[in-house]
Amino acid sequence: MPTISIAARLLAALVVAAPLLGRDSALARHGHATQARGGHLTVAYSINAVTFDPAQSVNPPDNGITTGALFDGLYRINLKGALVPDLADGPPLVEKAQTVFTVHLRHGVYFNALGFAPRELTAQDVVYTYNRVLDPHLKPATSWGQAGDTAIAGADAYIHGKAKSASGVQALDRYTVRFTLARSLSSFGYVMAISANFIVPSEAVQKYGADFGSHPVGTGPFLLKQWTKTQSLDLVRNPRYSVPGLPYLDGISFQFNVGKDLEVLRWKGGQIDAIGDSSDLPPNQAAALAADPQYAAYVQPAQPSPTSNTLFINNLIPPFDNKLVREAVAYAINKRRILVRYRGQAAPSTQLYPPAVAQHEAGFQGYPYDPAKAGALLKQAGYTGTPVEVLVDQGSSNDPLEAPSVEQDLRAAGFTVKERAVSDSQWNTLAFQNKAYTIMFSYWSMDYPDAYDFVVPTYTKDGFDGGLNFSRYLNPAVDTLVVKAEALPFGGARDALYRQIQRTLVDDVATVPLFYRNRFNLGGPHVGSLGWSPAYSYNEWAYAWRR
Amino acid sequence: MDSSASSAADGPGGGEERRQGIAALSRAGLVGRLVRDPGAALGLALIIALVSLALLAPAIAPHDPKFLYDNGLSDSGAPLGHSAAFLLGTDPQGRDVLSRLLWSARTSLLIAAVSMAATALLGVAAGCLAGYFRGWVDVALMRGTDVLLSFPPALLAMGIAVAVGGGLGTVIVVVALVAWPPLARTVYAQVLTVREREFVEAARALGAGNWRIIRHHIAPQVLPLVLVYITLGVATAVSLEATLSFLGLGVPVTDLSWGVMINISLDYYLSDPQLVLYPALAIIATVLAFTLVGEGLRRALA
Repeated sequence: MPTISIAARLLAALVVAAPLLGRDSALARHGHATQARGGHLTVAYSINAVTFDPAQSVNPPDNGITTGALFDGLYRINLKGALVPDLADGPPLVEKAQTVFTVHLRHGVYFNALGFAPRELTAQDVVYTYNRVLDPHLKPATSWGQAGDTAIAGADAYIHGKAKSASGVQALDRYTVRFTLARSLSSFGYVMAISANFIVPSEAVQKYGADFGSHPVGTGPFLLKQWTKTQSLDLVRNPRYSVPGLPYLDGISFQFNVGKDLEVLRWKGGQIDAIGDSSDLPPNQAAALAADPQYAAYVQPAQPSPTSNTLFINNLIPPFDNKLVREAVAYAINKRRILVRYRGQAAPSTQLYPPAVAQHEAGFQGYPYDPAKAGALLKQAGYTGTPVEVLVDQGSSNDPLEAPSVEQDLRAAGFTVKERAVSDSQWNTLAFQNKAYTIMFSYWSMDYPDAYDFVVPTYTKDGFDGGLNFSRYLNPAVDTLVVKAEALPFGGARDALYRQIQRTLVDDVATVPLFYRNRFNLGGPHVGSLGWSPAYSYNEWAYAWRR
Repeated sequence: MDSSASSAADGPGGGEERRQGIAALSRAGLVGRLVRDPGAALGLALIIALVSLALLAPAIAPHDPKFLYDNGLSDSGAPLGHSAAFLLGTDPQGRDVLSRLLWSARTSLLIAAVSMAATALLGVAAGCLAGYFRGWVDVALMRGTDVLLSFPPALLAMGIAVAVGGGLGTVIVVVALVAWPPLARTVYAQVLTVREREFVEAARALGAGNWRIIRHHIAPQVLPLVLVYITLGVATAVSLEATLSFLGLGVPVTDLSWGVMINISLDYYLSDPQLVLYPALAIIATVLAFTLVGEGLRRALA
């Protein structure tokens, strides 16, 4: 085996890693001189925040506040959608065909919370955090981030009780962590920016156990001052925050479970400064606010869209095990009609990757609306009228809006359609069983701007059995292409493979892309910025500021 | 034995008492009294109109209630107001509101009818059995009823709907479960009095069996009471169905009901209040109609 000098390997690794990190990484955790400092903002959400434990938080209020205000990761997605160092002091050193990632931590970063003696972050905290995310016995539930970390060497053995920890994550010294992966994974830089992997201190977790989510101790820009569960949350500036000049605000108050109408009324009446997530609003209200001259100036569009809404067709259920029938569905859907119902809050899509993703292809030709062709394909497929069932989540704000249109299109094409309206909890039970549904709606909002995030959980064997692969689509060729892509550094060759994967998925009608949801932040006369970030969780609260 | 003892077992005065109970319900007498009662007459007229509209919905609805019309929304995607094409406008999906209102009447009235039939069956059976047999039957049935009565009806209905999931069948079961305990209690109280009456004693002395006494001497005495309760109960059923469907716990959003119409239009109540107003008015009219008739019945049978 040829040997390469350390200097040469370092240089090569940096060359490899450089594209992984956004060009504006220097701005990543440094404020702009023009932003006003101090003050306080009050922001409302129509839904509840349940936990502020990074390993557990999922919904926008939980996840957004946990990752955007209370905790930091080794890396994070910045306001422009780029991967930038966070607790790391620079890009990872990537070696051995994307299987070894070495990360150096910034010095002088402190865990802090009210009533907690500040303590410096070390590499051991990183090791602890990743093992905690992989922990199959984690309370109150296994972390949703576990699947993303299984590439770490020894993760499987740890998860299956054959080891006391994952051997692939090691502290080399007080400030250096090395991740050794079981397979090539160029996306691992992004995996380190997933919110579940944001770093927690072991002593605080051990003190509070399953209730750590109510007593968060992190390194983020804010500290939890008071949380009245189901109602409100008060955060105050973290005086030990490690980035000079941030956060801009002295504090933020959040209101939860505020009815959508009440949310808007409170905002118009000045009782709250901002609405946390415009997609939380019904499309008609969002459209009305955006069109109202009195309020239009406060709409802060979030472009390009990070969200892809699709129609999932269960490939395991006849007649959808026949590609011709799936193609018929793709031609049958009138996306324009759906978009009209979103009142300008969505744009039509032909592909799986939304515009915010690096591998998005402008001008991609998908399946046009052609009901005649859909009908012809059904005949060609020998479809005999087997009823197809459309699963409608009544608790979702999307399904009741999209389902009637899709059902009408399918009927027009010649399908026999049945509806099955279910509650949120029923949907969550059915959606993760391989054969419990036929057609359903879902969306994916990017965790990071890379195709890996859109392909692997949703269209490969990784998510097939009871996972997020709602199409129950299995194609060894796609799985092989993913492996090839992940062995490549970021750049054109890797992007080309992911575009090839997308073309395969679209050609196979693994799913039917419907639209990209347009989001915006709703600020106000007192709001300079809400720190919008295109990655899921949406707000970098350190950058929010008051006029 | 019951069937062979039929006429003899009526006993002295028994047939008369039974006839009195049923006479109170005789069509000519009762309808005459209701028609002469202005409130009840109005209610009857409304019920006849509502039932007729519901039955004729397939014939008189101007559009398919579930069809999304391309000309059913404005260019910006807003629902339309009144027009020649859509007399009551369109909903947020571009569907005809009038057609949906008419078809939804069928759902609401179907739920009310079936759930009240079940309520009558359960309530009368439980009340009669407990009141007539007393002893452990009384304890078992009435304590069970007390348990159900101790829950606030709306909370009980929501709890059941959440536990088993929504749907037409669920709503019928939920409404019946909420409605039968008060009826059982009322019937029970009535039966406790009736069972001590002379004609019951006489029937028993002449060899009538328990079931015959219950069917032929007790039940007719409570029938007027049940009729009033059920008529008023229809109003409760319609509003409970609407409440559950509005909360997403009743009729699925993909089906037709007035509660569903309100549910899916709630985001529009400021910009397009008619979308909520029309189904709300339909619910109010139905509740009012059955309440007026129920009260009229109460007065007529007093």
